[in-house]
Amino acid sequence: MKALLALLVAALFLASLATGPVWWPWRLGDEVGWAIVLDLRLPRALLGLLVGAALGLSGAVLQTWLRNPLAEPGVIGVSACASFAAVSAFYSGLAAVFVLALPLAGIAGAAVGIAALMSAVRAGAGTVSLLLMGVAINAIAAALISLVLALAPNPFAFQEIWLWLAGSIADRDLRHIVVCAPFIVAGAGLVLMKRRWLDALSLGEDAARSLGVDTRRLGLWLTLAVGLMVGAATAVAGMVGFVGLVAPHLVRARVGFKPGATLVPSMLVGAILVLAADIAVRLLPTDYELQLGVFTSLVGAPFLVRVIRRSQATWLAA
Amino acid sequence: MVGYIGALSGGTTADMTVRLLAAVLGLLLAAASPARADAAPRRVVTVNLCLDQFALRLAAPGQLVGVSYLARDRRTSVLAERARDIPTVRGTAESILDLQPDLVVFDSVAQANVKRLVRAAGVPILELPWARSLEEAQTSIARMAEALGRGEQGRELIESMRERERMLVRPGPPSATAAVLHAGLLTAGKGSLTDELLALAGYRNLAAELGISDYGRLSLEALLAARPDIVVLDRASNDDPARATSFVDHPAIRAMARHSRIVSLPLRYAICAGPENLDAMRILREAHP
Repeated sequence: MKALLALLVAALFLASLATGPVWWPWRLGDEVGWAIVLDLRLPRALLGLLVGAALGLSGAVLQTWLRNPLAEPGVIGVSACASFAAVSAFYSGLAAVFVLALPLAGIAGAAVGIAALMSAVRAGAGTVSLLLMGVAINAIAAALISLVLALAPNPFAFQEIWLWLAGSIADRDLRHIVVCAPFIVAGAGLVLMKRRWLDALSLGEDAARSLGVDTRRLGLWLTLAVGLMVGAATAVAGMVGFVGLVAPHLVRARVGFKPGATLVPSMLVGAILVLAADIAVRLLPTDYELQLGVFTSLVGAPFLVRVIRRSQATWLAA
Repeated sequence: MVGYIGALSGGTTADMTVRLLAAVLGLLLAAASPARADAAPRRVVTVNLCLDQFALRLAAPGQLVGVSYLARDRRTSVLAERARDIPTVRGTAESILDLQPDLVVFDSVAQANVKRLVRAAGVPILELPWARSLEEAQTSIARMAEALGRGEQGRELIESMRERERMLVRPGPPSATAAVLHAGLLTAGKGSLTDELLALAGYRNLAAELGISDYGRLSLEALLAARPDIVVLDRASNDDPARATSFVDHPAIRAMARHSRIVSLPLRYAICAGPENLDAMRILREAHP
């Protein structure tokens, strides 16, 4: 299955390079053709790949770790925290002076969001508390984003609330890839190294401890890993919701519900979803290109409703 | 009048201030024609950038007591320096009424609620249509000048605009293509103010030719493909970073510089229709290949 998914990722990546208002750019001459593909489409395709993989993998980790099928960076507010931190670094001008300020701020924001959530979960709270905590974190982060944008010196900044609350990977350039790729790859590496322990953790912290897992250290490790991935992805793309929710659900049944085995397929499905969504927004005949995050929410939110309705009885009461 | 000012010379500094104020007041009264001395408003407030800039050019000293906050912003206003000492309003009825105006100038389409509140407070208002061309700007200037009792200044301003336009217009059919990029990759399409300025300066407007009217969006990809002779953008707009203006540093724009001339047109010269548009026209004329 992994090979098939990887093949699909590759196909969509190439399709992303081939999609745009100018279908065959080389008919305009080599120079313009290469400029269109390398400067405009390649960053977009690479970012779709990276952001999708980061969100898919993060969703799979969070769902296993929190033992909750609704855990997802967007729903529980981790993306919103990352977005707030990135917005602060970007509009204050800090990111223009020091390039790494943008991803580092995003990572710090995401890590703080995860830590806040885990403190709630450690206290023995159930699914409902987790989701309510997510609602609260999302609300605070959205308000703070508005505040920072309202204070930003650029007169156009305030119009960009929607841009950060519903992400986009349009008109980014290779500098953005350079800035976020190392962190996303590092985060993914950290998670995949601990794949075996994740199976143990899915049984609950006590059970994991009895199996010889240092749950405290593993928790810090996963916080760092998810923070790196979600923080760096959100810092350049804004909030792209529901990918982390949908991806693990699509693969879980096919890998025999083994948490460790969902990771790589979830990562690939995440990349597939974002690449496909980003091609779709370019093909839709709208005057203004729809935001990538708007499109993923449009498709993903009904999926969330379906998941809730299906499994209501079993765990919502928990 | 001259004798009156002469009589004021001498005295202490404090005296001087009072006397200067009196002199200014005297000038003010003298400036209004005798027949309209009662009719001309003494405390005028304008509530949007374009009206602010007309009023800043037309009003007698001290006659304009409130402008919008954008009038003080160097990036948007050509008269930021002159607006510095005038209180600003933020488009709420309370901030307007606080300045005790006897005339408030609004744009005719927006802020219906604020207009109603201001009128209800017994303050007369003047509504001017949103000017989208040099000619409409001149109509608005004439109407505002009339309402401010500054008809003479209005006629002079309009005459100087026509004069400069005559000097700057490029004769003959347009011989180069231009594309305009504003924040958020919005462009100036057919029927927009910048479209008119481009035509006068001897350009075809790429966005208009692509069928975009008013302020539509132009993708960087379509722009690269069309290879216009010049690309007009505000280089300084991303000095304070925002996603909407980050395109000015995009590698695709740099790649374009090999075929197209990148022309920096400060936002403040083309954001409103008015005399400052002629500076935009000058920049466009100078950039003509």
